[in-house]
Parts: sequence; C-alpha cells; structure tokens
Amino acid sequence: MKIVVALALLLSMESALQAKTISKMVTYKSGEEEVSAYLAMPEEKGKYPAIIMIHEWWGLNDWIKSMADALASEGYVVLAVDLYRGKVTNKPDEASALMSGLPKDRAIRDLKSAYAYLQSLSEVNAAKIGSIGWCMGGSYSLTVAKELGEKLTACVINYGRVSGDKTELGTVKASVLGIFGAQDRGIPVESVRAFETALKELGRMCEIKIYEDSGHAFMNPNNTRGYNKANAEDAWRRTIEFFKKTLKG
Amino acid sequence: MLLIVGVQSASVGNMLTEQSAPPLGYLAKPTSATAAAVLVLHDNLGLDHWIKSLCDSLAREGFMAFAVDVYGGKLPEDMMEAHELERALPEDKARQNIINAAQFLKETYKLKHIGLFGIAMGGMLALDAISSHREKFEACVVNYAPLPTTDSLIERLNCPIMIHVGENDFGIERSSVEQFTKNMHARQKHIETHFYKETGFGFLRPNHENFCPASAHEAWQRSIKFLKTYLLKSSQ
Repeated sequence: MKIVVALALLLSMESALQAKTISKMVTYKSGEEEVSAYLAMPEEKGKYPAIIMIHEWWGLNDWIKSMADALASEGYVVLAVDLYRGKVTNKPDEASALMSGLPKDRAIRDLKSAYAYLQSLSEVNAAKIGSIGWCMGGSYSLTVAKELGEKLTACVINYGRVSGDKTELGTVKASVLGIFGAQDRGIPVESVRAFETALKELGRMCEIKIYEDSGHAFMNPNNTRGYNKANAEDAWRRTIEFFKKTLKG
Repeated sequence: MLLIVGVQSASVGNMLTEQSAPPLGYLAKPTSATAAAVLVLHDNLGLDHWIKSLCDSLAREGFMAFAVDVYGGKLPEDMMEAHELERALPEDKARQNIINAAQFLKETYKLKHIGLFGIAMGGMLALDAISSHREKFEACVVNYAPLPTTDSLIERLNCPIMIHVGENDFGIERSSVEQFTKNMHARQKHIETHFYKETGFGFLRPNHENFCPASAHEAWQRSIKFLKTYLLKSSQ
C-alpha cells in the first residue's frame, strides 16, 4: 500500500514538473530557400536546451507535433522540421513517393540550418542541442550527428538506419540512444549490435534498447499493425531520461 | 532466335577482394556478342519478377543486363516491408555492390561500356554511383528519383543522364527537376529530361497503383535509344 501511495505521489510530482508549453509554425532559411517547422517550448521564459526533431516517412504530422509538445513540456525548445516542404500523408504509396523523392543533400542542409536557427533563438542554450527522429527521421538523426560532430550533444535514433562502420561513424561525437524493435524487417538485431560496438570502440556514450516483441514503428499509435503501448511508453521514458542526463546534466 | 539467360538471385562471381561480398543479382545475356552492359537498380519493392523482365528486355536490345540486388536476397511482401528495407538500406554497402557488379561484368565479359538504369531508390543509387565512381559509367537513366541540389555534387555527374518524371509525382516537384536540369546545362553537362502528363510516382511498375502503360512505354523507348546511343554506338 505504501508503495502504491509513494508511486502515486511520485507520478503526481512528475506531472507537476511538466511545464505548460507554447507552440507555433515558424520558417527559417536553408540556403536560398525557406523551410517550415513546428516550434514548441515551455511557456515560462528562460534558456533551455534544444532538440531538432525529425519526422517519419509520413511527414510532419500531428503525432510528431504532439511529441514535440511532450518534449517541450519537459523543459526543451523543440524544432520539428518539415523535410517535405509542406507535404504530409497517411497513405503508404504517397509516403513512399515522398521518401523516395527527398534529396538527401537538401535534407541535410535543412537540418544543419535547423541547428543554426535554434542557436539564434534567445530561449536556447546553444551549447546543449540534441536530435531525435523516428523511422526515416531516425536515420536522419544519426546523419545530423555525423554532420554536426561535436556541435551536437545528444542523438536519439528510433528505428533508423544504422552502420557498424567506424570510419563512417568517426565524426559522431554526440551521446547516442538507439531504440529498436527486434521484429523490424529492415534492421536485424546484429546490425544494431554492430552499431553499438562501433560507437563504444570509438569511445562514444551509447545506450541501445531493443524490444524483443516489437517491430518497426512500434512507438506510433497510428501504426495499427505494430503499435506497442507498453514498449512505446518505456522507450519514451528512456528518451526523457537520456535527454535529461545529456542536455541538462 | 534470341536466347535470354537468367541467373536468379545467384552469385555471379567471386573475383572480388576478400573483404567485399560478391555481387548478388539477376543476369540476362544477349545472344550475340556485346560490348555494353546496363546495371539495373531496383526500387524499394526489390529485385522481383518485373525487374528481371526489364533485364530480359535490355538483353533483347543487345545489352548484357544485370540487376543488382541491393537488398541482399530479401524480397518485400508489401509496401510496408519495402519501406522498412528502404529506410534501413546501408547505402555504402549498396554502392560497393554496384561498383563490384560493374567491375565483374567488365572483367568477366570483356565489356567496354557500362550504363545504369535506376528506378526511384535505385535512381538515387545510380546517381550516387556515377558521382562516386565517375570513370566507370558512360550513361545513366534515372526514373523518378531525388536529384542532388548541391553544386559540388552536380559537378561530379560526368556521364550523359536521362531523367523520367511524372508530372503528378507526389514526392518530386517539377521545379526541382527543372532546376537540376538548368544546373546541369549551366555546366555543359549532357542531360535529357522528360516529364509525363497525368503520371505519378511509380508509373513504370505494372503492379504499382500509379502504373501508366502509355508513359511507361514512351519512357522505355526513350531509355533504350539513349542507352544505345551512348553505350552501343560508341563501341562500333
């Protein structure tokens, strides 16, 4: 009974710690072009660590925005970029066209520009910037870490492309949290383990969590075939803890 | 009579270095001697029956045709699995497989000219291959794939390129294709760009919901003519 009461107290304290947030769509410069993004941050004025958030193959949809709000409530300025320049879908065929049509070099430019934009905001502690992405965005989260090197402090990859090549990973300086499902048909567990080994041999801080009973995209509640509530909540808890340790520590 | 030889999902050689895996794929040979090969790079649905049929058609046109299996033997059962594989594709390994396949064909069959025919994800890999190994390829057909926007990447594209894009492609803006074409022209590079009316992403593929037989036929005829111009005629 005592444990239950203590737990309830703890949970209520946790929710009390979650800040009220404000959010809006913004645009920022990427080369000669304008990119739009969803910006969320605590309502209370202050200087916060920042996080670049990268969407799945569906685009910048309401779920990604809700994740940005959820992270912002933990005390971060979150910029959820729109790599698809306004296009969003819930149909796999259209998502396939969007992902297959996205120029990688443009996406990288947009993400580096997102970093520069966050640095320019008065609410951002520019020394503490991280990245997070799911699916295609998980792959780009690692790309951001490779491209930004020591400028990026923390990187969360949710079932994105990984590599076990130490040469390729050599420029990654951020601490890494990797979340995967063992049933993912594109990323075998051994690839994830090779990724973990390579990062550790490079001396990087790396945490890997593989959920045995989950497949691809298990964190997205709209994924009717593969959403796993318990694992999604556990993964989110780990994400919050990881960012707290790396960006607020 | 034409003879098409197909090697389904078989290793076609092991002349490669010990560190690299032998190329996996489907090979179709023309009946008469040829000096040219085309590497076919599949879309996210993998090296399936349709991709093999493209190789067979290329062989009938006088090319050695080899479809590189960048999924390493996996064939997705549906669009979601195709997505899972595409999102996870180790691009460095895919690039190496393509280069190994080109080298294998050149050495084994004493070929002089190698071209590329890439579809969607495979189109992106084709551009990546000609960018990273400029000396290896002499012609490249890119079907509805993302096009580089950065000057330094465009500068590296040194072989003649033909682009096919549907005007209704949900992922590829017409303006981005036009800008790429303009950038190539500004550098005196050979580029032929074709847009197809009322046509969307995936229009070449018979089992895709956007399959457009008329556009697919027209694009195919243009591709064959282009590949013959740069790979076969130059060897005569």
